[in-house]
Amino acid sequence: MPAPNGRTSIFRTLGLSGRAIWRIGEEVCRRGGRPLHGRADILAQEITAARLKIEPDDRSSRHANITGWPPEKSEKMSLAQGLAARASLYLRT
Amino acid sequence: MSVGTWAFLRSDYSVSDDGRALREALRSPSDTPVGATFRRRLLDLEQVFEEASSPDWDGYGAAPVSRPSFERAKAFLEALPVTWPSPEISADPDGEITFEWSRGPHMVFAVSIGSGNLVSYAGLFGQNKTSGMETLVDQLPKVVSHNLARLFPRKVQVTS
Repeated sequence: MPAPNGRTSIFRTLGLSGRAIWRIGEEVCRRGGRPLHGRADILAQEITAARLKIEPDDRSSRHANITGWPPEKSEKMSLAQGLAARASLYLRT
Repeated sequence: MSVGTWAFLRSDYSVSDDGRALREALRSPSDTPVGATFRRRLLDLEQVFEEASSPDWDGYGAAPVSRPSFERAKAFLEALPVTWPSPEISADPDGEITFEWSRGPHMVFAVSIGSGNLVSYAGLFGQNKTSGMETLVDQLPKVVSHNLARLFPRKVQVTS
């Protein structure tokens, strides 16, 4: 689900090892002072197929945001459920 | 913000079968299965409220869960029959509280509750999707019970 600013923070992980991906998550959580519970991997084409956009920003070379969420909460929820169904969830062990 | 509609969801005002069942559940000591189920759900909700009641609780600018949103979510929980499967309870970045039931990633139904009179819902049932908004009146919205029956046909039976 998007933050109040309409963006969902993501990292583009193509070409990274699993270990490198976890390191990104650890760093993000360390800075935020929050525990890392897991990650969800999804192909970019699944996001664009849902008529959402991926917009890179200057936070880091791999950081981007999912944007283009519809205004209605129920439509956001439905899109999020569809993306979750197509994502692979990895829990931190 | 209005919380008036939710007054009708309180157990004292419930007149439906579910409402009567709810009253019995609330009268049950917490060491009975029925009472324990409700207490456990309420504990989950209170924990979510505690963790998400301050601004930016997720580190991405999330809105805090307000007391009126918590009270409305609590009333929704009170209207939910204790014999039905328990939801996962979580906070959303917009400060609403979401109740989600799942039988795997392709069989999901969720209801989101804020401080207003409308609840948002969305469900994924294999290839089929549903979503929309519903006004809360004097009992659990029928769209909630019908979609939970789709998800848990053996555990949730509803009459038309």
